[in-house]
Amino acid sequence: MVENQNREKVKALMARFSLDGHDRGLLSVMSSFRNAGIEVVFTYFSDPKELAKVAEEEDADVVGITCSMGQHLFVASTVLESFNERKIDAPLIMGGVIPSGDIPQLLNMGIKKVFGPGSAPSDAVDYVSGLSS
Amino acid sequence: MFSKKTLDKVNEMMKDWEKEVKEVYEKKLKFGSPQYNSESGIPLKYVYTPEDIEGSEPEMPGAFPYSRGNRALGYQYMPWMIQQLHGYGTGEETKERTKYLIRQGMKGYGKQAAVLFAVDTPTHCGFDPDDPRSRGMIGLGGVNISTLGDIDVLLRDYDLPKTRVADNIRFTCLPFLAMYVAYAEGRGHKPGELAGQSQNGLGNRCLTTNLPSPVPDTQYKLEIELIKYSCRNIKSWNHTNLCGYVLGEMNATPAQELGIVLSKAVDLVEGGIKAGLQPDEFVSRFSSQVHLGMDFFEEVAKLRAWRRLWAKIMKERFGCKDPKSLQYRIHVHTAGSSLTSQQPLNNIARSTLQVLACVLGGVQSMHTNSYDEAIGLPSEEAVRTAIRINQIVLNETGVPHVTDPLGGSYYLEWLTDKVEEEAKKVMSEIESKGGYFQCIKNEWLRQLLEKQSIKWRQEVDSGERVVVGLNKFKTEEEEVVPAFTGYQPEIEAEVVKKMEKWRANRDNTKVKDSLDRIKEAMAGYDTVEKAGILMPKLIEAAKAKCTLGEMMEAIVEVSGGRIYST
Repeated sequence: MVENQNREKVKALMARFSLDGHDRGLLSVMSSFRNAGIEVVFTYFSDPKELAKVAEEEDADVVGITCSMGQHLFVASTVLESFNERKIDAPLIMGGVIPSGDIPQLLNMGIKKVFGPGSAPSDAVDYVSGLSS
Repeated sequence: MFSKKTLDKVNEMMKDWEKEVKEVYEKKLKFGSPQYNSESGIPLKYVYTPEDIEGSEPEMPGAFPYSRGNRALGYQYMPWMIQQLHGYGTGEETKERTKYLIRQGMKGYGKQAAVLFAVDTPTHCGFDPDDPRSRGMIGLGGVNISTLGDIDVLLRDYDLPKTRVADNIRFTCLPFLAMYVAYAEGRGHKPGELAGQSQNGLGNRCLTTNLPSPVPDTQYKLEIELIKYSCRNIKSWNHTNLCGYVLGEMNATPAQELGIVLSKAVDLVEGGIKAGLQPDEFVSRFSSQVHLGMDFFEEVAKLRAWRRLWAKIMKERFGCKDPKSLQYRIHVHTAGSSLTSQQPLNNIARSTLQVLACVLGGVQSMHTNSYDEAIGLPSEEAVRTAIRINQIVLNETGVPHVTDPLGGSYYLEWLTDKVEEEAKKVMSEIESKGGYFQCIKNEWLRQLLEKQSIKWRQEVDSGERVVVGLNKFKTEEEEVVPAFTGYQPEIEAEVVKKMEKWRANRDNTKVKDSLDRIKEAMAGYDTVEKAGILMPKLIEAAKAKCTLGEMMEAIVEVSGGRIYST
C-alpha cells in the first residue's frame, strides 16, 4: 500500500447495508477508530457496486461492513465480487451479529477479519492500526 | 405520612446507624464508602427510612395517579399477557411459529387470539420485494408483507373480529392499516369490528433504527392521520405504541426513556387536538412498549413513575376526564441489549430478573427475550423457555398474589419520586428545544442517544460496567450456539415471484389513478389540521391492489423523500 506512505492516518471506510438498522456497534467502533487517530468515512449502501465505487474514490485502506440481520453471507459474496471487478485490494472486514459458525466461511470467501458479538472495539482498532505499519 | 413521634424515633435510630458506619466500617474496617448511582445517575444512599418518603401522599391501586396500578386488583384478577413478538421467512413459517407460541401459552386478553408479527426491513420502509434496494433483506427479522395476498396468508385462518392484530411496523403503518381495513372489508367485516394496534412510531423509529424514513414533518402528519382515522373508525384500535424500548436499546437511561416518550405523547396529543379531536377521544388508545433493563429497582420505579406522570399530564395539562385516558397500560419488552452471546444460558437469568421487575411494577403484558437472541432469531426451545419464565413467576413464586407488593418501601417510593423528577427534567429540556419532533429534526435526540450508546461501550471496555461473561467471569472456551436463521435466497426468489404475479393480475390503470390520488392528498397536506384527507385514498388504493411499497412511495415522493437519522 504505497499510498499510505504519503498519508499520516489510516483511512477506514465504514459501511452499513441501508436496510439493516443496527448501528450501535458501528457507532462505538467508529468512535474508537477516531480516538485512535484513524480517519473514518461512513456510507450507507444498498448496491455493492456503489460501495466499491466509494471505496475506490475514497482510496480507503480498509473497508468495514456491519451486518446484524443474517445477511452477512449474501453481503460478503456480493461485495467481494464487486471489489474484485474494480480490483480494489483494501481488506474487507465485518462486524455485527454474526454467528461464530459462519466465520470460517466468511474468511474462506476472502473477508480478512470478522468481529462478531463480544468483540471489543479495541480489537478492531488493533487490527486496523496494524495496517499502516 | 408519619407521626412526629415516629419521625423523631427514626431520627434517633438514624444517628446510631450513621455512627456505626463511621466508627466501625470507615474507621476500623477502612471501608471506602463508594458512591453508587442508579442507571439514570440518581445518587443512592445506603439505607432509606420513613424520612425519605415523608412528603409522599398515600395511594391505593386503582386510584389517581395510579403509581400503584391501574386497577384495584392486579394479577389476582387478571395475569399479565404473555406476548412474544415473532416473525420470519414466509407468511406460512410465521404462522406456524404463531401457533407454536399459542400452544406454549401466548395469548391475548380473554378469548381473543393475538397475532403479533414482525416484518422485514423492506416492509418497514416501504420497498417492494422486487425493488433492488430490498435485495438480501427479504424475510430477515420478520415476514415480508407487501400485498393483500400476503395479509391473507397470515390471517385467513383467524376470525378477524375476535383477533387482535398487532404489526410491528416502523414507517409504513398507515398504508398497512389501509390494507388491513381493505382486507377485512373484503372478508365482509366493517372497520369498526376490528381490534388490534399500530406502532405508529415513525419519529421514534427514525431516531433509533436508522433506516430510510420519511422526513420528520411527514412522520408527524402520518402519525396524526392514523390517530384520527382509527379513533373515528376503529374504536378499539390502539393507534399508537409509545415505544420507549428502542430508546432503551440505545442506552437511554430509564428516566430519559420516560421523558422522551412522554414528550412525544405531548406532541401527539397536541397534534390530535389540532386535527379536531378531543383528548378523551384518543388518549386512552395509546399503547406502550417499555424497555426493561438490568437496574432492577430503578426499572420497577420507572414503571410506577410512568403511570403517575402520564396520569398527571393527561389530567392537568390536557384536561382528560375519562379514567381510561389517565390509566397508562404498560407492555414491556425485556432488554435485548442486556443479553450476551457469551455463555448464552446466563441470559435466562437476566430475562427472569427482568420479568420479575415487570411483575413488581404491575405491567399489563410483556415480551420476554429468548436466551439465544444475541445470536439470531430465537429457536423453538429458547422461546418456549422465555414463556416458561413467565409461567414460573406466575404459578410458583406467589409474587402475583399481592398488588404492588413493593408499595410503601422507603427506598422504592423515594426512587419512584426521583425517576419522575428526572424524567420531568428531560421533558422540560425537549420542550425548551421546540418539542419532540423538532428535536428529531434538529438531531438533538439522535445525538443524545449516540452519546449514550458510545458511553455504554466505553464503560464496558474500561471495566467500570460489569457485564458477566462479556468483560468479567469469562470462560476459556466460547460456546458455539447455532444461529436459527439467516438469508435464504430461495425465500427471496419466491417472494419476488409472488410480487410479479400480483402486479400482472390487477388493473394497472386503476392502480395508477389510485396512487395519483394519494399524491394529490399528500401534496395538499400542509398541516396536521388537514388530518383525515389521506386515509380514504390509501384504503381505496389498497382495494385497487396497490402494494405497500407503491403507496409509501406515493406518500414520500411529494413530501420530502426519505432521510437517515444521521
